[in-house]
This record gives sequence, C-alpha cells and structure tokens, in this order.
Amino acid sequence: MTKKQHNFSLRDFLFTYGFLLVLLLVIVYFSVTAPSFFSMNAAMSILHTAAPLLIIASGLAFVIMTKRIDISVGSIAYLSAAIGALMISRMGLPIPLAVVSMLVLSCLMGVLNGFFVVILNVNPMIATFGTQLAFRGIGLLLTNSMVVSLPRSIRFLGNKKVGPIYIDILFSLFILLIMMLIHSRTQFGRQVVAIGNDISIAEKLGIKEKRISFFAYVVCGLMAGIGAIIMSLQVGSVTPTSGTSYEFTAIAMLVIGGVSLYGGEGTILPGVLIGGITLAVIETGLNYIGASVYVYSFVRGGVIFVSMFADSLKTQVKPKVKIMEDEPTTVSNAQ
Amino acid sequence: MTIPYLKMDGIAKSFPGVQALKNVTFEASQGEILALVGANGAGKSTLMNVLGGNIEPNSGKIYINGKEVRISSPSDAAANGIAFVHQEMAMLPTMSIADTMYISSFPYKHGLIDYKTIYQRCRVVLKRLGCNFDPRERIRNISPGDQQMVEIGRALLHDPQIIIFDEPTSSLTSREKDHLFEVIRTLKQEGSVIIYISHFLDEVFSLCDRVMVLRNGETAGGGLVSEYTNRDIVKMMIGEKEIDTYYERSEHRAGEEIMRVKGIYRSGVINDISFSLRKGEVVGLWGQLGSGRTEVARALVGLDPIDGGTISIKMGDQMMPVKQSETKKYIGMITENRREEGLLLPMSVCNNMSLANLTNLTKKKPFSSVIDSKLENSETDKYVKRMDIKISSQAQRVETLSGGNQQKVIIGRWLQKNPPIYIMDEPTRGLDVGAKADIRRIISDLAEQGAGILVISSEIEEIMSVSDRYLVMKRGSIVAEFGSNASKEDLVATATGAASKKE
Repeated sequence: MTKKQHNFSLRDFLFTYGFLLVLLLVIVYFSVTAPSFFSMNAAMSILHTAAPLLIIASGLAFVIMTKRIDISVGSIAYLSAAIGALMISRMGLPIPLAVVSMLVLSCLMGVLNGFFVVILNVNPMIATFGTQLAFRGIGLLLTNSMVVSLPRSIRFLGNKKVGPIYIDILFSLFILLIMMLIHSRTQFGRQVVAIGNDISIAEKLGIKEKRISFFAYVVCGLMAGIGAIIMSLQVGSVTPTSGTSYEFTAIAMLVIGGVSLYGGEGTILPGVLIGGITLAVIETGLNYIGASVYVYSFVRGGVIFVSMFADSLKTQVKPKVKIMEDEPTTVSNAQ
Repeated sequence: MTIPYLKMDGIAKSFPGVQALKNVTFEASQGEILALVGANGAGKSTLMNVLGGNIEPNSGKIYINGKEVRISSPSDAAANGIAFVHQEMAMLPTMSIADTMYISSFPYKHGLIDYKTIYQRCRVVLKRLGCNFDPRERIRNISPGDQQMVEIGRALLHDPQIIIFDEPTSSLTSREKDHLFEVIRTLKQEGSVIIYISHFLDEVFSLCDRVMVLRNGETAGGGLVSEYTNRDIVKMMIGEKEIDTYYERSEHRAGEEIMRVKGIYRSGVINDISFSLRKGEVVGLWGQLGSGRTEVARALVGLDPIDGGTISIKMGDQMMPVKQSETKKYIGMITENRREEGLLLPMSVCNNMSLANLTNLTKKKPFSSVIDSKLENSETDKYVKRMDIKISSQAQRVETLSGGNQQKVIIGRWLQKNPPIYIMDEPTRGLDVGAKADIRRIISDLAEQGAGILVISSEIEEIMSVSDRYLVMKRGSIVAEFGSNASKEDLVATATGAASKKE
C-alpha cells in the first residue's frame, strides 16, 4: 500500500531545509564582506545576543503552535525584570527569593493572557496587545520610568564565561533542550500541535483544548520571565525600554526557524535555535560591516516579511494527493 | 437460540421538533457484518451515536453479551469494547501516524512519551490492516485511503469487540475500497461484531451478511442479505406509500437550450459532468449526501475550482463558452446554507436584496457611483410584494426574519438581477410546510417565465414535485437521467447503486 516517493522535489527540499540554507548564505555573505566576522569571538557574541530571545521564543512557540499569538512577551519580560530588580535593590530581598517571585509573576501574566484569550475568547492579537501596553505601563509606574540597576554582586554573571563560552549561552541551550523534550515527548506538547492542526478535530479526539491552550500561555509567560533574567543580567540593569519589540524579534526567529503562524508546525530544536541564530547573525553581521544603525530596522522588517511570506506559501501548496486513480482523465482542458 | 452479542432495545430519541428514533430494536452477533441502511435522515447516525456514547437516548436499554450496560460518553463506549470509525476522518496533517493514533492518551516511561512501545503497537495494528506504514510518517504525506486505515487503526488500538463503520468508503478509490472490504472481512473472521452504515446498496450486497433498514426513525425491516433483492431493500427504505397528492407537480414547457455543460471535472470530487438545461425547465439534480451534487453546483458558478471541461451559455442566438469565473453573471445561485453563504444577517432586508444589482441602482451621471436609495427602495418593494415576504419594513434586519422569509430575500435578490439560469441548492431546507410550498410556487413561476432552473434537494418528494427532468448522481458522476415520468423507486435505486444489479 505505501508508495515511497523517490523523485527529488526542489520545492519540498527548499521548504524543509530553506532556513538552514538562508543561514549558510548569510554567514558566507558576511564572512566575505567582513573577514573578521568568521571567528569564534563573533560566533560567541552572536549566541550571547540571541540567548535571552531564544528562551522567550521557545515559550512563544507553544502559543504559536496552537495557532494563536502572544505579543505581550516583551512587556512580560520587562515587568518581571523590573519587579525583580526593585525587590533586590530597593527592598533588599534575598536574590533567590526575588528570582522565584519574578518567575511566579511572569506565570501569572501568562495566566492573565490565557484567561483573556482562551476563557473569554478575546482575539489573541488584541488581548495580548492590551496586556502588552498594560504590563509595560505598570512597570513604568513602579520604576518611575527610571533605570533600576542590579547590585554589583550579581552583575558579573551576565558576561561570565566558562572557557570561551558565555554561561548564559549554556543556560539557554539547556532551556531549549527541556522545551524540546516538552514539545516532542510529552502529551502536553503533542496536544499543543494537535490543537494547531485543527481545534475542532482536536476536541473530537478527546483533547481538553481549553486547558492545553491556557497552559501554553502560562508556559509562554514563564519563559518570558526566565528570558528576562538573562536579559537584565547582560545589561546589568533594567531600563524603561528593556524588552521593547522583543515580541516581533521572537516571532521572526520562530518563523525563520520553521514554526508556522498557521499552527501545528515546527520544532524547538533545531528549528527555534536556527531561526534565532539566523536573525542574530544578520544583526551582528551588519554591525561588522559597519552598516548604519538605521539599516537594522529596515533589514529586520525585510527578513520578517520574507519569512512570513515563505510561511504562507508553505501552507498554500499542500502536497497533492491524487484520489481518483482509476479515473482516466480524458476530458479536454478548459480554455 | 443464542443470545445476540449486542442488543439495543426500544431506543427512542427526540430532538427539538423531530422524533429521530422511535422505539428501535437492534441486534448484532459476533462474526457477522450487519448493514444499517436508510434514506437521508432515517436515523442511522443517531442510532449509532447512541451506541457510540455521543448521544444519550430518551429511553431504551443496551445489552452486551446479555448484560445491560450504560453508555453515556464515548469513553464508556470504548470501555465496553465499542469503536466508532467516523465518516469524517479526524486526521492531524502535520503530525505522525503514531501521534494521530495516540493523541488522546500517550503511554509514558521515565516521564516522557514511550515512543518505542507506541511504534511497536502501531506497526502491529497497522499490519493487521495489511499496511506497512512507518508510524513516523506524517499524515499529510499519505493518501486518503491510507488515512482511512489509520483511522481504523486508531479504533482497533483498544481491541474492540464491536466496530461501527459510518460511510467509510466516501473518500476512497475503488482499489482502496476493495482493500478496506478485505480488512473488514478479516475483522469479522476474528470474531468482531461489525456494523456497517452505508448509502450504497451495492456495497451492502457485496460485503454484508445481514441488513437492517430504518425509515423515519423506525425499523422498516431486515434479515439475511441473501434473502432480499435490491428492489426489496429500496422499497423498505422509501416505504410503500405514493407521493403525497399535496405535492402537486407542475408541468412546464421546455424551450430552447440555454446552458450546456460539457465534461467538467475536478480530480477526486466530480467526474465528467455533462448535461444541458433548457428555457422554462426545472431539472432536479438528485443523489445521496456526498454524491457530489452540491459540488457540481458550486463548480458551475465558480465557487469551487474545476480541472477541466466547458460551460456554455446562450447569448443572443449562439451558445458561447463562458469562463468559469464569468458564469455567475448569468446564474443566480442559492446556496444550501443561506445563513453562512447567502445573507448578510445584521443588514436590512433592502440592503440584502439589492446586493447583486447595485450597478443598476445608481443615480444618473455624474453621480453614477452613488446609489439611488429611492430607486433601491422601490425596486425592493416590488419584489417584496411579488413574493409576499412578511416584513415590518424594508429596514428590518434579516437575522430577525423567519427561515422562509430569509430564503425569499435571497431569491428576491436574484429576481432583481433577473438571470436566465438559477441553481438552487436545498432551497427549502429547514423551512416549515407553508414556506416550502411558497418556495416551490416561486420556482414554478420562474420556470413559467422562461428561466432554466437546476434544483438540488435531499427530499425526494420535493425534488419530484418541481422537476421536469432528473439527473442522478453517484460518487461524483451523473449515472442516470430520467424524464418526468420517473418513479421515486427509480431515483432511489440509481442513487444507491441498486439499479446496476437488477436483472
């Protein structure tokens, strides 16, 4: 019964490995134009830049795989980082306690998003746009729009290396590994993908759609909180603009890495990792060739657009399965 | 006498407005394939959904192996060894075969899904179905026939004793169908109770041992398949009574040809559809649900794509081929779901009715892009009166109207535009008797005035009351054509495939 197709299709190949190809092309391009680009140092700084966003994106991936979206992750990161920093520097709370409260808080923000989107059925884009504004507003209020510095005792962690590797790179790879296991080897992860395929079919198959989707938002919030820790350690402080536009960078990472905005598609490893690295390579590369800062936004916009366009193409061309094999098609074509 | 393995006793179920099942008793034994047949809406699906735990009956008992069981949810059904292979496959295209089969509960080992065991189990179950799939293959890479096997495989995971197949062949090729039949026969030999729901009597005769016929929610008869002829079963399905006199048929005079369809097809959906339509003629397109009748209608007006074939429409003195995207200029289409596809519910009666005709309702130059609301109102008024639509004012919102009046609004919309051809898909679905008669009268009037009309309906009495000619569809093809003297039996027999076997 099974027919293995051995004929090579360029289109299928591009859709499966396209993002790897793009990454290679980008690396080659920058290595040629800026010879110093192809080095261990550059590679480390690329991963270092990408580290907090990789974590945030891996949480957002679960929401996007259910065919929904969360554009409040940047604000969740900011608000939980701001509160954590305030707890340490103003209230003098012990650092582990502050970190735990930060994470609990980010989960609660995810709960709020899940409540709006899954329970109240508010359009995900609008609901999380609202919380995006609200969370940042609360953060600005609490900090009086001021920079909150972290104490010297922990600031060094953000740029600490083990051998040639920053520890935050190791940490984020570790988180990605766990997220990959949750995605591909737990019932929750599999059911998230099933929901992204088709909500009504998922429900018909006995999946508790609301519970799983709600939980996906909580996971997304938690990851934004964990990402916030690395984000603030890298800078040594929390500024009023921390985390701004992280949501779109994270979405771009996911889409470049093959996580479809149409749901049910994509992997954490290697998908999200490669997507994240590609985007970071482009930005670091622009830096190396001395491009103007204003070019960054333009290029990032272009990359997001192209990857989303590719995503939409991918979902349009479904593999054509022929049904009526016995029917000879002798009918003339329409003009 | 042995006790039947499964017995459903005195099952009754009513939905608001309909008594779907009236005291149905049903028995099935191990090692036999029981066919459950009946016309559309006879209660087959309701009965099986009771057994599958999807619907709770108002009364009645279910016995398995002589013991009474309570089935109030699909998981109760599964616990009692009942598996349901639904007509609509529940597939997850981006996921693997194994994931699709296990998605509702995965076995775990060391805190992670135990794929090793899953893949093994999948291979064993699929092998039983004669398939050598790699369980890691993604669903979207396998054909619908293979997906059907995965669907059955999922049902077999928990070793059911009773397996219900609901129209399993509707999306299969004939080769895949043969394979499925072999699988079903194997399951029967292994001692399962098999219940096979089908529209197609030819399948019943080639596969099943016993047959049970439902009609209007009641048992109409049944017994060993070998003791019946096709015609016997058709008679049980439609009953003995003649068409009600209340459905008065009207004769129209057919004029010249106005539309000719030649060999339109769409791979996997409709094949080689050819027919012609004449002025002043009502043609009934009849077939079972899923036979492709709606798909033909949608293809004709460009709502669904076609892979080939031509549509010609009379223009002036000549038949001119028309591009599929242009046909809607000449054809008024009344879709089967008026609320979703026909009406703008929150808008007014007037706005809804003038929608297709706005280009003719504009002010004089130079304001020719502005709608003349006086003209719009007076035109609307004309058709509201002509069709006797009950509204409080033209500004009334369409969603507040009754079904019959909503349908009239849609028809009125096309009347304003006055196309030469109409296609009406289930024009009276969900309407009360009075409204149905009104719509039928409108169809008749339109034909009198020279329009060519293609009518699709699930209700055979209805299609017989308005049509001058019939085209019968089965599995995406037109299989027969009848004149106005066709009998109800002819139509049902050809649509179910029973006629092909008569001697």
